[in-house]
Amino acid sequence: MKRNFKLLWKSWALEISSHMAYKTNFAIKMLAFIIMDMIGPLVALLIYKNTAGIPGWTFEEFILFTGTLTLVFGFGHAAVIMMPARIIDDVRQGHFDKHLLRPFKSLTYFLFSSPDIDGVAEITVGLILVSWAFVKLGLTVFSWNFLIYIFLIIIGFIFQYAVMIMISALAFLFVKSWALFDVFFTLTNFARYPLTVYGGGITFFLTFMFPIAISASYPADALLNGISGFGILKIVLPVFLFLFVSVWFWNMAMKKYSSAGG
Amino acid sequence: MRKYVGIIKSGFKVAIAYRFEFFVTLITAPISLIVFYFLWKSIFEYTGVGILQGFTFTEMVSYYLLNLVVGFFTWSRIERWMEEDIRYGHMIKDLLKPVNYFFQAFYFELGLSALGIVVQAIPFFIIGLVFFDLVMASWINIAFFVVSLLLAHILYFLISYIIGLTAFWFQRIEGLSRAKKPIIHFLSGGLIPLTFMPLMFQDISKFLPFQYIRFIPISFYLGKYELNSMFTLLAIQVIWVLLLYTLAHVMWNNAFKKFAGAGA
Repeated sequence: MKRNFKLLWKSWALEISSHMAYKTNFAIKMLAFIIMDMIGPLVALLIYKNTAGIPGWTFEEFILFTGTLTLVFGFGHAAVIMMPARIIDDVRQGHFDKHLLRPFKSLTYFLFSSPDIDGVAEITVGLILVSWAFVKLGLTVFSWNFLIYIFLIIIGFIFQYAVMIMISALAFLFVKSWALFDVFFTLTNFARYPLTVYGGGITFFLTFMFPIAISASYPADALLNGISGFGILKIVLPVFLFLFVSVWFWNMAMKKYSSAGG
Repeated sequence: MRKYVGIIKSGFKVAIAYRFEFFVTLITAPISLIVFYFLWKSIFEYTGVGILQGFTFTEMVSYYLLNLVVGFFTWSRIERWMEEDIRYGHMIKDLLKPVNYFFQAFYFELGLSALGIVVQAIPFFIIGLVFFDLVMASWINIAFFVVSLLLAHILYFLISYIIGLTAFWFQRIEGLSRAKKPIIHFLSGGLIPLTFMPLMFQDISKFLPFQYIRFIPISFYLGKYELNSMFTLLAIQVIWVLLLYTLAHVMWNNAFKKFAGAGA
């Protein structure tokens, strides 16, 4: 484990130093991400100013929801989103072999060595939004609901990791796997609004088939209204099932890998 | 003109090489629309009114549908290519060609967009008519929509080109490029109709080019303006194109003095 964290530390040090070469660009890029992530709450504000809002969620609660989503996506962005990008490129160019020679399990290696500093801006915005909502809603961190909230955020991150493994694995099977990125990012649009917006069919899909609702809907709801043990099990199991299938897919893809390039 | 037709063709051929990605949007774009459909359905039901800021529910769905159609044509990544050209000095070979750099870039991207019209915008428009109750507008509205859309394409390109020119000074403009898309998307009404904005913002917006990229063309199609207003708005759109073109020209002349051919 110590070795993995050393790898993580070194990868982040490299990521930061590479961005420091162009400081102005880096500052503008961070600002761009902050603006991008603030646009969602701004649209929400416009909706709440002009309408009765989103069913079941007050404006402050919706900001908690959006902040949670930004936080979970931020963790995914910072830690794993570069993973398929690197793998797809390396597989295409036949450079993937070098990763197999390293003294790490391939998935562990990519988990600890795919940092993206852009995600830090998202995490920052997410924390600001969640903190604002916490104050406005009078929530406390000293509660079971908060512990469950943190737990579900971690599960949300695991789901992001599982999806990235799946996309990466498919890079070995399809040359055009970039398109899967687009499909994934489009599907994440469903997560941008609470489940109360959708009908039963989509809610089922977002909970059990492609459990992206774990990214914000369930954690925010658990924090505000609490959740039963069975409720936790019901939303966590599909994520682990998805992770299991993704890892299985990855292992299968590794067996098929011929190192000839795409 | 023949040389520009050649450039358009080369852009089209590059787009053909990425046809799979173009077709994928035929799957992804309806997903985005479904999200907005359910969002606004729930908001309309929860609010309990028939019209919100000038839009009925059907018009709102049509707005987002047309927003997607317009989005297939109003995009540009020219600033990223310019950044590369300037940083690595590749621009020099383009400058040696007997074609103006600006028009090379413009017509190349026009060629790229052409495939988008064929495999994305038109099929999606038909999907809208068949599945999402999109109403066929009158011919006059369609005519204004098409002309405004062409101008919107030029406007978007000009803004991207101007951002691209800043690479002569900043070298790396990834940050500006990243900021461009969401800011334009928001200010042009790509996320929510501009009638939902505070009145003060709507007034300021009249003096900015952004609403002419999405909100105005879409409003033309939906018949939100009288004929006289449509002519006035179209004239303002043309003025914005001329203003930004002049700005780009002035910036180019200043920037070019800095360019050493070996990279900025």
